[in-house]
Order: sequence, then C-alpha cells, then structure tokens
Amino acid sequence: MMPYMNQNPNYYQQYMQPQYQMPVQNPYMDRLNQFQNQQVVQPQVQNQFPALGKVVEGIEIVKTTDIPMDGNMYYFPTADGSTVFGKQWMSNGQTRILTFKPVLEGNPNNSPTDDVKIQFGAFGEVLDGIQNDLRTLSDKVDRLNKPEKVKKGGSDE
Amino acid sequence: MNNPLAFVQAMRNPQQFMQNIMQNQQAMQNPMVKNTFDMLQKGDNKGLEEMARNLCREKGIEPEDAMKQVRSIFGM
Repeated sequence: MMPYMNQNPNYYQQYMQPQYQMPVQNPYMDRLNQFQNQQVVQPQVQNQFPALGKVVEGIEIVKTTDIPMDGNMYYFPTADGSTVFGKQWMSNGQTRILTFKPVLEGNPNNSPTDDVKIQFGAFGEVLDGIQNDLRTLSDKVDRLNKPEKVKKGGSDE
Repeated sequence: MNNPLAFVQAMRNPQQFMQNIMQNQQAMQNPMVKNTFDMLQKGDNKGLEEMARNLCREKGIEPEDAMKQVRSIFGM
C-alpha cells in the first residue's frame, strides 16, 4: 500500500479543484448590487403567482366568503374540478362572481358536461329500445291470450 | 394604514391625507380606491353614497342601519 494514498474518493475533488481568487471589492457594493437585483426580481415573482382562494363545494360558499378589497380576482375551484369560481371586488363597491367551466382540448365545443349529456343520450336510446321490445312482447302475450278466450267462448256457445 | 390612531392623525389634515394616497401608486392601483378618489375630486356625492350602500350590502349590513350608527356616533 502506498504510504500517501488517501482512501477518501473525494480527496482529489476537494483539493484539486481550481481556485479562483475573487478581486477584493467594497462589501457595501455587493449589498447594493443584491438590493438592486431584488428590486428587479420581486415584481416578476409577484406576477407569477395568481391570487388564489380555496376549494369549495358550491357557489353559495363563494358568495359568503370575504376576499381582500385589492381588486384582484380570487379563484375558488370545486373539489370535483368541474367548475372554478372567480370572485372580485369591482370599483363601485360590489363583488362579481365569474364561473369558469372546463373545455376539452382539441374540441372546444365539446365540454365534459356535453360528454355526459351524450352518454345519457345513448343510455336513453337503449332504454327506449328495451321499452319498445317490452311493448311488442306484451302485445304478443295479449294476442296469445285473446284466441284462447275466443275458443273458450266458442265452446261455451 | 392599519393603526386607527395613525388614521385619526392623518385625518387632521384631510387634504394632505388625500394627496399622500393619490401619490401612493400601490393604493391607486386598487380600482375601488381609485374610483373613490375620482368621485371625491369630481364631487360626485351620489356615486360615493351608492358605493357606500353597495359595500354595506356586500358585507350584509343594512345601509340605513349603518347611517343611523354613524349619526349616533357624531351625535346627529
């Protein structure tokens, strides 16, 4: 075993990294630069996060929920994701509530609610078919019953 | 201005108070504040009253009851 071999695999990474000497600067200049950078970044961060409300069960809860009077819209999604309500103070001292409904991508006219209607429509067609079959069956049963009565009546006479 | 004492102090000089708020860009970005000060400048008392009534209704307060309370505070 070599006498000076180090067992630590990070040894070379620790000690062989190139070291750059930073030029000596006025520490107040660094702080000033930091402060200026913060001033530039802060508004962008604020714009990235929309004002959010909370998850609600229905519009009644949105109506009774107070929101800050800052003019921003606060969003209240429903738990099932079918609707998002937006509540906002208007300049005349009233609040307004907007209702946002999801639209499926690719076919803007085909919203999930329409999809459900289509499914129920197909189910209704099947139901109609079954009802028609039942009617025809009951008619056949009636027809089968009627000749027996006629026969019975004929034999009685 | 969350401190009521600071608000009372500011209202000793209403004109200065209004100027300070109008110079505050953050406050003037609020549509309700902007509308209020626009109406104050125009002398639109009817609009201000309507706004106050709307605020009362939104907060579940009867505007007439609020008026009575304010009158009683000022001994009117």
